[in-house]
Amino acid sequence: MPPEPAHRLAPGARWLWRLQGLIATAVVVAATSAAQSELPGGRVWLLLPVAVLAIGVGAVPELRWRRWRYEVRDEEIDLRHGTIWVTRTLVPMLRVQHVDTTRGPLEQLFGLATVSVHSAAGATTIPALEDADAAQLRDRIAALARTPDEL
Amino acid sequence: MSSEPSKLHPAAIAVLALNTLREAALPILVLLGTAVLGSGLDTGALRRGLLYLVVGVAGASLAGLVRWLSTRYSVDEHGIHFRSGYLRRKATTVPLNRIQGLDTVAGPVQRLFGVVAVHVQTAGGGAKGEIVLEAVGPEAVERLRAAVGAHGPAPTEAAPERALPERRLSRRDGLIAAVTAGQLGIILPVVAAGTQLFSQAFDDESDLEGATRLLPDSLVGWELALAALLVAAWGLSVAGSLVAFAGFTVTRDGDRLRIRRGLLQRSETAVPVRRIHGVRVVEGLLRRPFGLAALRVEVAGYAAEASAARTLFPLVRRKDIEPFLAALLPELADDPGDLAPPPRRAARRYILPKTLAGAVLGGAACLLVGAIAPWPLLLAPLLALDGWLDYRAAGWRLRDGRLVMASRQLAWSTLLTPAARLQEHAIAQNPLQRRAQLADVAVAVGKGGRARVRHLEAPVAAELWERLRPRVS
Repeated sequence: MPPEPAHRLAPGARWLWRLQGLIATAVVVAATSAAQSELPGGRVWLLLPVAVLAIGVGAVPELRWRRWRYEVRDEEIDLRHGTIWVTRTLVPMLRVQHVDTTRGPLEQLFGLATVSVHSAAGATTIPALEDADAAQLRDRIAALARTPDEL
Repeated sequence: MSSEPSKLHPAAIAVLALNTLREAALPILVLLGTAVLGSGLDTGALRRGLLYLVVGVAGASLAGLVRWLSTRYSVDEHGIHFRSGYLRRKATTVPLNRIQGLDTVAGPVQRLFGVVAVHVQTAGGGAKGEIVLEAVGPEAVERLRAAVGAHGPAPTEAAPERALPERRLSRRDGLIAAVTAGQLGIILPVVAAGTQLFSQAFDDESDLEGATRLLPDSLVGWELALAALLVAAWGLSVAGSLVAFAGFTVTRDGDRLRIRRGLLQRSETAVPVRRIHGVRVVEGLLRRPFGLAALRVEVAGYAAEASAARTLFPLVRRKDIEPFLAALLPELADDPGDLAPPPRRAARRYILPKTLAGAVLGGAACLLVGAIAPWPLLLAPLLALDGWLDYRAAGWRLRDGRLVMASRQLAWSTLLTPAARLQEHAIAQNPLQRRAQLADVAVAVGKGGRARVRHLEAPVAAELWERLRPRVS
């Protein structure tokens, strides 16, 4: 296995994901409080939001951020990501068709952006980068991918 | 090279009219039905129904005529230009270097007039192609081909006498292919519908006495009906395959593969070989025991195509695969056998999860239905067998830059692809695999063209991942 990809995502990524986890928790709280009286088991169901909070806000964002690494080399894009399943993906630069950056409403709140790399097999994303870094990365990949037109 | 805009062949009026009719078929049928049945079956109603029919056909014909009058196409050095419509104008230009192929399709109407429909295929286009010219005469097709071919690689270079490598599906093989097609996709909804009917029949029978009295007869009756439905669905699928694959011929013509197929609707596709990123050998449940397989191509830019269009050949004997590919597609020819399997210790990782899932599902089914006989519990050993077959099927090989990856999900699937053509590749581990020093390797050659071999020794997987990286030039 070659050395790990060098770069981490923006530190703010953790807070973005924690916020997303918080929103998910709110949704689960609303759902369980609405359904609790209907379901057998009563108060046991109140544990569900607690579990979602612990996993979605406490554990996953930190773990995910620690795992996420990326590196763009001249001839390939190297990614490592995943919380439970750890995946190391490699996209050859020759196969990149176009690159774009997107900023969701939550991402804008934290000044973050996502870079999507499109090949004939679909899109590969590098989420939650600092705005400026994302733009720079997009331009770099676009420049490196400017090779003969072959799908 | 013709830059003068030309009209479609007048046969397009008929084709377009029929298209409009087909789109409007349901409303017309409803109108007809209400007219005829709504007020009883007297002559007045029949006359009104006939009137609606005539109006519908006349309207569609008029629409076809207008579409034909308003449609122009032309070819010049920039590309193929197409415009159509009076009220809602549509103008499309496909640059010559974006054209992946000109497919010709001859439906029944087109054949009546001796013309073909031309689908201009591009990477981004859907199944039907970016531009569809509904009816084009033979000489116009030649002109189009020449204009596109002058830019891209020439379709046929001189010496048409020279025999091109070609394979044709024999009538017998066509029949075998149709019978073993095993279209689970068709059969499953029928089974679902059948069981629903079955349960409804019991819900209606609310009084117990009636139920017990009716039970033996009706049970047999429903089972018979279900069986009949299954047989009918299977018959339909066989007939569908027969029609779709009739006269299937594949020809290697320079840097293109020409695939012709179809009984009612003859279609001809020309696939540029450089767009073919992989060949997939698919052995269905009904074919594997007889050493039979179907060959598919993984083509970049044809993602939206129906599976029939990605068929390279509907039926090949396993031992003939390598010679077949060597003759028609030497760029991708390889031996689909002789692969490195996952380690023996990985076998239980293929078998155990499925067995557990089977036990849980079977147990739950037993409890819910309160079955007299514990038939659902058979699911566990059945899925265990399935998992064991998955283990036996898995394997890989990377030799001389050619990658082979085999796996199984009901059907056995083997992907042959040059390592340099991969769109991406990945290695993945879950915590259990990390502890056991195992890893999965997955590759993608196009949208949907994916393959994964699970539970390889981690160092082996890492080495494979490393060898698949693009060579630094």
